[in-house]
Amino acid sequence: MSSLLEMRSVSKIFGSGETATHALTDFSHIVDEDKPSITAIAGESGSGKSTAARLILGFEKPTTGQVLYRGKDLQSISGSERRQFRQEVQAIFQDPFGVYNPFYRVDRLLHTPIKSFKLAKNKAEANEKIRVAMRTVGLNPDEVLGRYPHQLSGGQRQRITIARALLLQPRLILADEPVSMVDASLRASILDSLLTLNREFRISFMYITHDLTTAYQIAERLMVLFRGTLVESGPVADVVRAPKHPYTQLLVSSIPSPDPTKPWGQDAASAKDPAETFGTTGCPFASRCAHVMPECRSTVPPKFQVGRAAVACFLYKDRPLAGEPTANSQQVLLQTR
Amino acid sequence: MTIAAPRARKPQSRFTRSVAFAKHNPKLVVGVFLLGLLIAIGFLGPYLIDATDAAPMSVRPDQSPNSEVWLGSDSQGRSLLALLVKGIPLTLQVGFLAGGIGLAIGTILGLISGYVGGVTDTLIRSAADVMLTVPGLLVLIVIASSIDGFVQIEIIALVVASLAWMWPTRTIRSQVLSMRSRPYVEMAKLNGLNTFQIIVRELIPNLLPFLAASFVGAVGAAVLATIGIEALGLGPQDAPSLGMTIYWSIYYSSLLRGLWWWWATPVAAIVVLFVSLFLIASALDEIANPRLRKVGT
Amino acid sequence: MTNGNALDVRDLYVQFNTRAGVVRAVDGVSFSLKPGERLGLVGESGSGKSTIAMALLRMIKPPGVINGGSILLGGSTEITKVTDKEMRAIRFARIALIPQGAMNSLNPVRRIRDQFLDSMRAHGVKLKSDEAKERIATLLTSVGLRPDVANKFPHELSGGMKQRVCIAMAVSLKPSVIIADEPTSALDVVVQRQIMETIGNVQEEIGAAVILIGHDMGLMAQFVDRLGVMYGGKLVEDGETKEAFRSPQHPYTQVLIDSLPSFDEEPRLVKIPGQMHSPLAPPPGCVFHPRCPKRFAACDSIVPVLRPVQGHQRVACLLYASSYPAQPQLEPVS
Repeated sequence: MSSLLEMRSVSKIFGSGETATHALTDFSHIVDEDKPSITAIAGESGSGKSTAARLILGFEKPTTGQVLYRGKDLQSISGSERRQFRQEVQAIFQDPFGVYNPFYRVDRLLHTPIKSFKLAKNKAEANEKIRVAMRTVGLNPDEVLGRYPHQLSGGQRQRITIARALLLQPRLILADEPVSMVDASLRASILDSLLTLNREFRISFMYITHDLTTAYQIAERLMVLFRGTLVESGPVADVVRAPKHPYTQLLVSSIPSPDPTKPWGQDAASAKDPAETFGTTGCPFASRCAHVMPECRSTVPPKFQVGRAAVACFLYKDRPLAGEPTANSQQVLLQTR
Repeated sequence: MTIAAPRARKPQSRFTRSVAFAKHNPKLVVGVFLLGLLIAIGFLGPYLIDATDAAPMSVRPDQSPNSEVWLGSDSQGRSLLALLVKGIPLTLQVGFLAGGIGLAIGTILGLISGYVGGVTDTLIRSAADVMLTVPGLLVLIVIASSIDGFVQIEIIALVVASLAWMWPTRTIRSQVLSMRSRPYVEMAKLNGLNTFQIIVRELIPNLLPFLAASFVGAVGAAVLATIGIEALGLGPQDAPSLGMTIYWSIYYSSLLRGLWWWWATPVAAIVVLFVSLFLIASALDEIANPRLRKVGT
Repeated sequence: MTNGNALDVRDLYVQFNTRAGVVRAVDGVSFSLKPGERLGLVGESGSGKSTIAMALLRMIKPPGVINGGSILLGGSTEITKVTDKEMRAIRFARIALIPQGAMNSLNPVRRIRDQFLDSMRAHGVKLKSDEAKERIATLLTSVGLRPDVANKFPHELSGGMKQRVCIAMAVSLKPSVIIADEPTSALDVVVQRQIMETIGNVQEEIGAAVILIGHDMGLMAQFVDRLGVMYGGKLVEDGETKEAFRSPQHPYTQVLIDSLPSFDEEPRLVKIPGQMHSPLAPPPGCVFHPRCPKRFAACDSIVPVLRPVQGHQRVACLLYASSYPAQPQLEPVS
């Protein structure tokens, strides 16, 4: 069982000294090659999820730890290996407009990777591949090709970026908040396209979001980040229905339920604003946690195995430690859908 | 019943869109028209009148505008109209040459500095900053006055250009800085494009309106610098350029002697030139920065 | 003629005369707002909900124009007809706005206290300096901030804190209507809940009515008393929140609610077919019919009118045409 991509204890610190920002701390994850998976990384702003995305794509260097592509460190792979990496690991971004260079027609977004990665022998083959990819994501090529980005709707533009990712036949797509800037009525169909890519084309996804609801709709595993630290991870239904970490509990209860008869969670949500209460040692959530204990402030809690989830909280210190995220244990933890 | 498609217009060509846009930009139209007028005077003029009248002792001197010499003549017997016809192209040439060279250098430096960053950026930026503090006109005067003998107009152009690259460098660098972290640049990286390809294919096309506006600005600045030098008497003494005409009109006290046509003609031409350049630059600025566009356009 | 309503909007039409054509952003919308009531206007981008907010504050800029209808504030002031000077006095004093991304509408180079003072002075509130200080302190505590925030600059505050400052500024002159235009869209879900609670608290304290504009149905369910659903510039459904969620009448509302996932059920993706029409080319007849799963023959030619169907719920849909009275009549004031 080989791993396509592995993050090994990756930390990223911006700045230095007093003003250092610990964007991501000791983050580990393995993307298995053989079994396509959808993993959601959820967190709020400042959680480190965007940093994790940039590290995976090789846009940033880890401060400590390694990002490994097929066993080799991303920082030291050769040029041709890097090209292969760029083909196998693709991305879909949040802003359906920004990814288009406004000077060119949208077609260019699709032709460039074909040319760059030599995916077609001639223009006719390229056009055919493009048309097929567009139809797969639910677009009518004749309505959309030949236009400029500002002439299309947000949903169409986002679908084109998905078609583009599909063209490269990657093994892993990193989707960074792909629907947060898309209208509510179109989200379901775009998420459905992502599911199609996963099921029919066997592409793994890392789905980055702040919206647990969409994570629930398509992901199998959910990893919750708070201030750069992984606080809870497990099968998505478990984490969402029975959150174990106090932060996850706060997060889930803060989601407004679209049922007027079920009011917003009544728990003791701290009225303290996150920006004011930021500890630098121990558990990052300690200063806002209702269950805080002395050890929480001094020591970073390791991940304990609670049921099928891994929780970084001393409330569960009598449980066994969660194992290293080997490909094997990931298989065990995966919930079939 | 069909599902309503988004506006099913045939995608218009870039030309059609440009023409439609021009219609909504009176500034651009007027500016281009005025500039075109000046260029026409300069390049068609010699076919319509006798341009040799721009040389001294061609017509009776000190005439006010009359039916023979439409714009009057100066104390050395030059026809002002002929001077316009010969002077405008000279001035425009210097302006475009100096402005163009300055912008080209500034663009290349600005692109490299902005995109590559790091030590290169610091070096280029510091050089530009230092040079910006140098008082341009003073340097030009010193250089021009220390060149022995005949000062050619091309020399002036080069000197002006050497001091015109700093501002474009800075402004283009700022533009590049804001563009470099745009998602479409990251997308280009994901597509495997290298630095040079990204600069040429992603950044430059989006800089074009900005470059055009900067070019017009650079031309204006170059023309102004040249006229300044010439009006002070440091230019090529026998060139019939607008600046030299002004110099001679001052030298011969045209103002005190009431020979208003002598100084008014070149000044009017210069005013028209700058108005046209300003209008064009302002209109191009709006294209480059959509937020400046008047509502309703 | 006063009926005690905080706000009465009748047949409001707002259009934008763009280069590409005429866009009817708000196409004949009528609703009323009782004092202290919370009304939610939910819809996608292009539905016209934000345009309504701007129209109520008379902040529509060219090429947009209010070209029809009446906006009656407090039963006596006709917003569409007052002079600019009068409108400046009305804005913030009687009808206030908490804008989207409000944190960006704070002046970055002035302290919070000064921004409050500016706003108060601009509305002719004359207070001695220690009275003003006290007033500002009270306002800040009412939104859950410490009074010393008044001395800070905006960049020293987090996004949630800045939004609270904007809420405090919006209620500083005790308006009778507060318009909250997606006040939490840039905020995290935990902070969002705190902000909504804050808005609710201050609203109750000063007895103002709130119009919450957004696209998050969950937020609407938890916050508003009445829900108005907008699509394509028209109000297609208007009713009490509980009823609207329990038995939505308009097909669009039905699909919207159906597509909301709940963690207690198995996850599913409910897709709404098609996409929003181009604002320059609205479909004939019912504005939703090209995407409607329940459309029938008449839907592409007759424009449905917003009419009461059961109890106080109003729907604009031909499915309920039989319950229309025979004669067309003016909208009853609800």
